Amino acid sequence: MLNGKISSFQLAIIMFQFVLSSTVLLMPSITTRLSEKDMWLTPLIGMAVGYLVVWLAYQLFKLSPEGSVVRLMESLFGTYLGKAVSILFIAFQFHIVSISIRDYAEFIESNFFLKTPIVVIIGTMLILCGWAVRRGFEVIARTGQIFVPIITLFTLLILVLLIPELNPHHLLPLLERGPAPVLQGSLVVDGWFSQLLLAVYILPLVRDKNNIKKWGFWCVTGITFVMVASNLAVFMLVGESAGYYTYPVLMAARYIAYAEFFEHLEAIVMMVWVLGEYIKISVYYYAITRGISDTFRLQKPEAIVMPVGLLLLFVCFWVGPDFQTVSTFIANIGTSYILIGFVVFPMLLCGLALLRNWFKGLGTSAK
Amino acid sequence: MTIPMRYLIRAAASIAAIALLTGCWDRIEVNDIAIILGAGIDQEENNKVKLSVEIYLPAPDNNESGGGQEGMDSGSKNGNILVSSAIGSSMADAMSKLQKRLSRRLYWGHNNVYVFGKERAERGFNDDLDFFLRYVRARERTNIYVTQGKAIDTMGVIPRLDQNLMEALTELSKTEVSIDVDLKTVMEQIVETPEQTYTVPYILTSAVMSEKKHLRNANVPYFRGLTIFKKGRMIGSLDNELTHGYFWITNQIKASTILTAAVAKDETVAVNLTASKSKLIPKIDSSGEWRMELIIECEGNLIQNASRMDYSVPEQLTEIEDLFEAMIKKNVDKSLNVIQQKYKSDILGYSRLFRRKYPKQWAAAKPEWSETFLRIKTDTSVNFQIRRPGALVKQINNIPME
Repeated sequence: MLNGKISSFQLAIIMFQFVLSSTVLLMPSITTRLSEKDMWLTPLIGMAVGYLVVWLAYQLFKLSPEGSVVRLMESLFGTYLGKAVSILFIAFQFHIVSISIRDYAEFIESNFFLKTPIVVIIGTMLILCGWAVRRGFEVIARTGQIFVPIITLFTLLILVLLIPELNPHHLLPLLERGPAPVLQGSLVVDGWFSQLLLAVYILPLVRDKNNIKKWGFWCVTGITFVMVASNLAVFMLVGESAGYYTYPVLMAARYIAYAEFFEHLEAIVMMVWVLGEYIKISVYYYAITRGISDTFRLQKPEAIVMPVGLLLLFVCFWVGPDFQTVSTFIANIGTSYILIGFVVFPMLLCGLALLRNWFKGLGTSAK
Repeated sequence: MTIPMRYLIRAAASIAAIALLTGCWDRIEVNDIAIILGAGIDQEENNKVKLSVEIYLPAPDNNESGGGQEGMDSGSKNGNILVSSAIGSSMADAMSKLQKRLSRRLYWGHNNVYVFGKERAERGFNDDLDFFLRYVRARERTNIYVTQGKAIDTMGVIPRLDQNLMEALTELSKTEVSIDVDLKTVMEQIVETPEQTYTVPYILTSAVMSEKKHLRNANVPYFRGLTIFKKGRMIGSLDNELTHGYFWITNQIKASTILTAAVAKDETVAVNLTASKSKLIPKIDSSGEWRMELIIECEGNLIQNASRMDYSVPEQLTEIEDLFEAMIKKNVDKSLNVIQQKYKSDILGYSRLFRRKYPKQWAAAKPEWSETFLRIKTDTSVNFQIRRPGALVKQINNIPME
């Protein structure tokens, strides 16, 4: 069953982890390459897009007939064109999530399970997520409720343990090359924030609809806080060389050493990454399944869960031949690509729907 | 047709059993791996590199364990160290050749020390750093040293005081004679300094240090100051005295350092440092001249007075303090002169300080930083205070003789 009810607090927790899972590991390196010493400011600017996207998702949800964004597309573009647009949007999500899964698998592969075939890493994760999706979003929400506090606690623990090694002088001078590099770096962060739009597929399940805005606000604020904290910690630890490490947070965790025996904390990073990625993939997986079943008005949506998983497994290999191709894509074209899909396109939808309603309003008032 | 629940459970149980019963068929026990404690890298002919590793063998020798208590004693902890080496065209190549000779898998997770031979350092070890930082099992906290002579010669050294050379080095780094420089720090400096300037502790091996009369000390590593790196190559070194000056400038001098000042011929006063703080303040004055102000404030306790100066007389106390201030200033100026004029390498972090305060001027001076650096004048002011006289109020020298 794809239904089941959740609270808006659960939604906020899920979306919080949904954005943070891949960010904490990848963001410090990419933002350092773009914004240098001011990399820690980038989430503070990117946060604006976070609020915008949450607002957009909520507006789209309110404008949609029966709360389904697919129906909104159909009513805006006509049934067949609407279905085509919806499929295109789902295909886009397919692409983004496979890049995400691939990133996850490459991380595990290159740092921990050096001999395990990558298909096993991706496959096991997809089976788990597929199972959770089949059981309904409530399962994802509840596992999230258990995992997210653990993940957040351990992430912050790593950052706190690093405090003696940090050197705040690394952060100066502020805005060395003016605000341009910061804005450039914040665009990449926007790419992560924009994925919050997926909430539009989950909003129909929320029981207490009047709390959505409040929790949406806290969700984005919480994400920004963790992003800034991890960026600050990484930069104060290694300075500009952060841009040279593939996973600076992993390196930072490895660097922690107390009293010659409290060392090798990188396993914590792996745990955080696996749990977080489970949530991220599940949310995408759910959104895709729901999108397809809404588009084709499927009676038993759970029937397509496993086929979708199999397709995801293949797409993960199609996104790129190697790690470098995928990460080059993320750092370059990927940003505008994801922003067009998750910000520009929904804004267009929202604008069209509002315009139509306005015209309708004109028509009824004229009569 | 529905399948009864118990069949499902049976099927699940047997699948789980199949998965779990394989157990540890591919386990790796401690005695299957060769734990690397330290690695030495040397330059070889034809631009080849020699990697030598100090391996800890966790399982005691069969003969020894059979021999019981005596076997363990005579074998001692040192018996479990093995040094092995291989030559290759690069670090990775050398490592794979080394692996071929060993029946156990090389395990880098516990490696604490990299020692570079002087020749390798002079050629530049950025290629090797790439391997260490890229190769995921090596840790960024691993310390780096340069040794006078060959790195492989340091590998076999087994100091009496510690279990192995690597432990001796890491412990020594914590004392006042030297500093920790690890992979992370070096990487940071390479990225942030305009000309890739940094320092690495310089060590001596027993072969260089041993004197026939002092055989007791033969098997101990010593620090011989710091090596200076610029643009990826070692260009020179600072001896212990100049290193001391470097520590004063960069606020790395450690409490418990003992300073001795000569009051007059054959008369000295010694002080144990309890606290010290050096502050560098960059300044570009209106005429466009770059200056650095160095303020050193330190205090210590008297530990020996082998002079005629009387600590209890305020005027003479000030005089002793002035002596120390002059000594520190002289030490600092000497080091500054060598670092700026001879090596022209900004290992003092001046670049970072100017960048913080004058980002625009710094950006303009960055392409030719060493030119700017050697012209920066440093004004040193030292404030030294002797806090306590120790357990003796007056000194023995001044007791009037009958």
